[in-house]
Amino acid sequence: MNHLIVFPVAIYLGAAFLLPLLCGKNDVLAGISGIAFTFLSLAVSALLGISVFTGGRIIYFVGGWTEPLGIMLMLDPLSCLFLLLTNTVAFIIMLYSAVYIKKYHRAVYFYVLFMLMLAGMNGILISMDFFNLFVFFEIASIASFIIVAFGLRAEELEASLKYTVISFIASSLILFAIAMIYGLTGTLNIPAFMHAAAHLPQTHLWFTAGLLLAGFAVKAGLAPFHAWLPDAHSMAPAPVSALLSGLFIKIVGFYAIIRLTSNIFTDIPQIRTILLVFGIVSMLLGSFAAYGQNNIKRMFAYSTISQIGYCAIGLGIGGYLGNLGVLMHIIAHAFSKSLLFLNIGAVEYMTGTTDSDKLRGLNDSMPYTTLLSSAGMLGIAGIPPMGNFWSKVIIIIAAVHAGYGGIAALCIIAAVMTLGYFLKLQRTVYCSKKEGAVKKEAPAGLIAPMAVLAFMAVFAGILLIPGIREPFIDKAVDVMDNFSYINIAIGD
Amino acid sequence: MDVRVWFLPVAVSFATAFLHVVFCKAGRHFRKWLSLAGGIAVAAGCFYSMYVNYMYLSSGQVMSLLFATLISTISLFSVSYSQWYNPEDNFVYDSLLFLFIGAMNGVVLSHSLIALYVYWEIMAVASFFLVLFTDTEEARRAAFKYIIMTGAGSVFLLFSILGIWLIEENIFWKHLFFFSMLIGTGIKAGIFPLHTWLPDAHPAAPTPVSSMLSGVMIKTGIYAMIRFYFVLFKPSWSIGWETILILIGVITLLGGVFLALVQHDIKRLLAYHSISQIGYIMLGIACGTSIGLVGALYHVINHAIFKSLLFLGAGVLIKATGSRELGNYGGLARKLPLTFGVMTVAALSISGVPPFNGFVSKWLIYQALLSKGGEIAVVALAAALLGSVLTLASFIKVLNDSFMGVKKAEISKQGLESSPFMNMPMVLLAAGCLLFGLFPGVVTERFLFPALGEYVPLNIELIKTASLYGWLALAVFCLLFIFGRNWMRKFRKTEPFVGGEIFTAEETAFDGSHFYGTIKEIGPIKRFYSAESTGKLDIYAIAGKILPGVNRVFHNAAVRAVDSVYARGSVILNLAVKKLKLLQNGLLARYIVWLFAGIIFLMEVIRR
Repeated sequence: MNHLIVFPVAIYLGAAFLLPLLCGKNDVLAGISGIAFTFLSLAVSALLGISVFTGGRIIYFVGGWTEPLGIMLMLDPLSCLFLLLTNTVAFIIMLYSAVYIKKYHRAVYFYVLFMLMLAGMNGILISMDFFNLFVFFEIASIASFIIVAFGLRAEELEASLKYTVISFIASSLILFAIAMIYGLTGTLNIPAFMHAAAHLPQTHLWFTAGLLLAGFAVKAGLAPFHAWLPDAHSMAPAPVSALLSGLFIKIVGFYAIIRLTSNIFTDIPQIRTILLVFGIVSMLLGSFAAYGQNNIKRMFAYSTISQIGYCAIGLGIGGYLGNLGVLMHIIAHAFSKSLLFLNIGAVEYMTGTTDSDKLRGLNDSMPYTTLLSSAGMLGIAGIPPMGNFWSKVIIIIAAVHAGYGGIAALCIIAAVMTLGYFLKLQRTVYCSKKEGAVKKEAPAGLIAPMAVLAFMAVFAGILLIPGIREPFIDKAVDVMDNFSYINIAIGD
Repeated sequence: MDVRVWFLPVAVSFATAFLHVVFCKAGRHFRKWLSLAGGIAVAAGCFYSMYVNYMYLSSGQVMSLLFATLISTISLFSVSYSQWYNPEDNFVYDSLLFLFIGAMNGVVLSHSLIALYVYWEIMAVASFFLVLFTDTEEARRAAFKYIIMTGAGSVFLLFSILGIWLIEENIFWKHLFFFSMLIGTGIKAGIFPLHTWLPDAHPAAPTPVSSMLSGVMIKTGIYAMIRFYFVLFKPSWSIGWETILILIGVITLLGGVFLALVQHDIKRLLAYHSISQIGYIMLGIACGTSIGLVGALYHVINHAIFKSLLFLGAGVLIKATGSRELGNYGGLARKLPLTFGVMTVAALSISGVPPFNGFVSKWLIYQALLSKGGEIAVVALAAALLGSVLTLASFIKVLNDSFMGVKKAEISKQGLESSPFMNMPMVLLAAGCLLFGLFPGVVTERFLFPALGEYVPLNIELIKTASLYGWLALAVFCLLFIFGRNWMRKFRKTEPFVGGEIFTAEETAFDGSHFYGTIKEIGPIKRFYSAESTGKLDIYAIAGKILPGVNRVFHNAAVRAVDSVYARGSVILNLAVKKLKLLQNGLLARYIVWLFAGIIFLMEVIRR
């Protein structure tokens, strides 16, 4: 069973190399094999999930080489939750891509890059040393730079360039931090570093933590490190936007921040203060800026910044409620934001534009798409009974309990603003009247994956029912609450 | 206690309602049996629950289960009857009916006040649509009035539910929430100044629904009142409120029965009698003693039995003649012997004639008032006795007008009483009237005493005395029947004549409504009637006059406030958005500056 742990990475890495060899120019075959590979990975993650949530964490040494030389992999309930989320949403997005990608030439390269991104993301989830973390981080990032520019239009290239530059600054910050860690402790294995760090001066740890936090915050799109995000997310092909916004920033950026805050630098409480400040700034800036956008995809991208602000606030508050809120918000937002990006992708697929000034009367021409878009928008705005409603409520309750009444009030204001810009969009773009509207619904291959995501977004709140929460999310929250890597004995 | 069966009645009713929706295309025949099966399953669920749990229950749970059993049984009869009464109706009716039954069961079975409130609202909505069901002009007005008044009641109830934790803090809260609870439950129960939805909604609803509204739904208000008053507030907490409750009981009792006297619409008349009987129950509750509570609970059961029976009987009359006016009936005893029989039993029961059940519960309430003592209780006792007499008078009118005298209306169909769906419920209810009157000892000892809780079970001999009267009366009836027949034969029968001139039966017939019309002319009562007929007593009409003005003031203020907030807010928002757009100007260098500004801030904070 333990050997399975390498498969989520190995399948995608293998797929990335096999796809061009197998499929060549045959786009249909590439699509089918892409779906097959993602499904395989989803199946493996499900098996791993059963094993982890029933039997506890898995620790694995690649090739049997134990540390300090060997590569140590770990899957605990927290990373396993993310693994399941990633592979589920990725599988659905892949189903959508297989239809959508007909817009582009040489679809096989799209699949290759997509697989590489997923390989990197899965790799980050199972890594147990800083160097592996960095390598997978780079694999995912570089694949994403290229895939953002996949359409090869000028503005796409520009967005990709900005993204690349800012992202490389983040990488160098992280690399610098890793160099410091190696220089100070002589190891990159996280448990070993934790043991060694107990004897290090506080200032060194602070600096290292600050560099790592800044690096990952760039990836997570927290303000003021968010500047690349609206460009990159709005210019990428729709399935990629969905993957970037729904999963990528959360795995590559926020998951790492969760680990840093909760499991590694547990005795640096300033990190939580920083997260609170960044979270509030992101939340408000994202929701304000979203108002001014004409490009609907750009508006969704700003909304992502706003929502990742909620996650940062939840993590900054901490405690059981805060952590539960963060995990719920990540899950629910992954569903609803990918749904929205896929949805606007379907609109773009049929009409060729995402400009909210040009689009009118979509309800008449694309009724199902409109219905699904309202599911996603009401979801992100936090209307009960959508999943996001529960997560926002939990975060707000956590803020009140922790004595941050003002933050709770700001969270509510931002939620109202979110509802405001989405309702504006619904009113002007979807539910308006247009002369001579012809019914031109998106193909079923695009609608069906969206419907699945909409179903998940609406019913994500079910995860909070005690019978489901206790064996599932509560275990992940417990990892955030009580676990430290130092608990993993060296030579385990 | 076996929790799994506790909510069985609710679950089964909702499931049946759902099945009706699922099989919406199914025929009448299928629907008939589905409804009947559902009704039987709900009632069986209650009895099973009682059988399984009875030994392990606390007193409050016994009371819940008593009410649930009562509701389910009466509902079963009504459901069965409506299969005969409304043979053309589609799935909506049956579905709503079961939603209504489930919600009523939910109200009485809920463990928490919030759950009670939720079911209370489901009940209100379901019954609203049932009142509306015939969709005539009258039904629309009645249903609208009903939902407005019951909605206002729900607000009061919710207010007191949400504040109930405050009652031990401060005497002011206690008074406030007691008042609010009284209004909230009183509107549903139909206590006097708040009763005005009842005489409109009952006639407008389909007859089986009227029998459920009057028989059991208003009892959920009583249930909530008992629960609040006896468990949360404790009956003796305030002498003032106790007096007010007794006064409410007296006014409800007398007001209801006086208004009932002059009615000529049979369902409206029965509705006013429901109000009057609620007055008796209120008197029992107001006494606050164990005997009063037993009397009230017993009267709840009895009233459910005979009032639903009366409504079912009235339904037969309406079906037979196509009219609700008493003046259009007459001489129906020969055509509808079964209805005549059961209506007579029910009329005697509601008037409190032994050996029927109304006597026992009223007798217990009189005993409670006697043992209570004090001037107010004596006045209440006198009023209760008077109310009983007037009830009898009113029902003599009903029986006379509809069954005796000259035949005025043609019966539309033959074989009206042949359907077992309709005659079984009526016969069973009539049997219930007799059984609950003859065996009060069994009923109280086995079912009511366990529900009393901390109130000491009272002396059973007291109740056995009541049954003694019942058996005595039964013996007198039997003797009269045996010997009176021969005696009756000795009378000479002839056509009516005055001074040698022979009149036809039509000419000598008199109309009960006119006969009782003279009551309207009696001095002080005259003003009461005129106030009632012009709507001066109708709290709904009064509120309808006052509230729009109040609403306008608040609405204007609110609109102005919202407008100004919106106007200022949108200006600020536009400004902020414009500034933010300047920040995101597309220059990579600027973005990197922010990034480093962020890092500097981060390092500043983390250094501390």
